[in-house]
Amino acid sequence: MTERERPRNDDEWLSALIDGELAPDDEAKLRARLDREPELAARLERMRSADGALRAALDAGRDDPMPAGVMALLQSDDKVVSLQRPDPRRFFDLPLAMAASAALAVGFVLAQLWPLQTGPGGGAERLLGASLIEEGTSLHAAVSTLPSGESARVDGAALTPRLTFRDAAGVPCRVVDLAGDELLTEVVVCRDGSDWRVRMAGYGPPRDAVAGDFQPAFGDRSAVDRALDALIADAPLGRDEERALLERDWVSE
Amino acid sequence: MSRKADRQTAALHAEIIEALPRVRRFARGLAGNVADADDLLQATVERTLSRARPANLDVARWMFRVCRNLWIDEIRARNVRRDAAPRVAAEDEQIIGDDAAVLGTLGAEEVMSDLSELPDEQRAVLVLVAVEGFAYREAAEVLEIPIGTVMSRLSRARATLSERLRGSD
Repeated sequence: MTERERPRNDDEWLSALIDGELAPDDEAKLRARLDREPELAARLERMRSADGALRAALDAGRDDPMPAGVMALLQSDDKVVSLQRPDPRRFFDLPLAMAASAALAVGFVLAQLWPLQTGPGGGAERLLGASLIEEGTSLHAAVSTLPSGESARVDGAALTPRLTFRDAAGVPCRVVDLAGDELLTEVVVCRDGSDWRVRMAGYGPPRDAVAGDFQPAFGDRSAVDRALDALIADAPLGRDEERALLERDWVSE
Repeated sequence: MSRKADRQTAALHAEIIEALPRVRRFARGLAGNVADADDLLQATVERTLSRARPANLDVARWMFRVCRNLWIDEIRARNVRRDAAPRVAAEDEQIIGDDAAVLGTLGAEEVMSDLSELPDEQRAVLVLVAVEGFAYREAAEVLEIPIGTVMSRLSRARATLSERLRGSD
C-alpha cells in the first residue's frame, strides 16, 4: 500500500487485517498490538463475526432458482443454456441456483426423465450428474439406437434424434428432440465413454409437426441449431456414416 | 446474425450466466429483499446486454458496477416517489418480511435488516469485499472510488454492523 492508502484509524487497520490488505511489517505490528490490547482484539473478532453472519445471510438464498425473467433475457434470442462448465476446476463453485435455472430451461420433459435434485442435500454435482444419460436407461437406449428422423416414446415423451455430427475433438454428438404435450426440448448430447452427456439444451412450444417433416422448432432456425455453429466441426454426418456409428454402438473406427 | 456475432453473443451470455449467482447475492445485499433484488438483477442483465462494456472491466465486474449504479438510481427514483406518495412508499419500504423464508433463518433476517440500515455506499463496499472477496483495488475499480474511500466505508460498515449484531445477541 502507498502512504496515502494506509489505514487511518483502528477500524481501518482491523478491516485491512481481515481482508489481507496489510503489508507484512504493518500486519506484524498490528498483531503485536492485538496481543497487548484485548479490547482491540475483541473488536476484531466482532468484525469477523459480522462478516461471517453477513456471508451466511446472503448465502442462504443461493439455491433459489434464478428469476425466470432474468433467464428469459439470456435465452430469448437463443433459448439455449450450455450445461458444459468451461473450467472443471471451478466445478464446485457452480451455484445450485444457476444449475437449477438451467434445469428449468431444459424443461419439464427432461425433468421428468432425469432425477434432478435441487433441494437441500442435492448438490450441483448431482444435477450435473443428472445431465449424463447413463447406459442402461431407456433414454440412453433410444438416443443410441434410433436413426435420425425416427421416433420412440420414452417415459411419456416422443424422442426423435434430428441429426448426428462430430464436435471439434471428433466426439460423436446428436441433436435430439423431446416432445411433451406442452413443451418441446431440444438437446445436444455427446458421447462420454459409454454414456451421453448433455452439452446444450433449448426449449420452446411444440411445433405443429407434420409427421416425418423436420420443421424447425423455433422459427426458421432453432436456437440449438444456431448454437451448434460453435460446436460442430463439420457438416452433419450422412445417413451411411450415422448408420455405421449406430452399428458399432458409437465406437469410432 | 453472422456466425461470429452468434458466437460473441453466446460467449457473453455464458459469462453473464456464470456471474449471475454472485451478482444476485450482491443485489440482495443492496436491496435487502428478494423481490427488489430480482428486479435489480433483471435490470442489470438488460443493461449488460445492451450497453458497451468498459475495456478495463470483465463481464462480472461490469455487472457489479451496473448493479450498484442501477440501485443508486432506483433509490433516487424511489425517494422521489415516496415524497410524492407516502402511502405507496410504505409498501415499497418493506424489508425482508414475507421473504424471510426464502432468505433463510431468523438470524439471516436480522443480519439483512441491520445491513439494510447501512448507507447504500457502505453496503456496496461491504458486500463486495467481505462477501464477494474483492481486493480493495478491485472494489475501488468497480465502484469508481478511491481506495481510501473503500477503506473508510468498509471499516465504518463493519464497525456499525458488528455493533448492531452485538446488540441483538
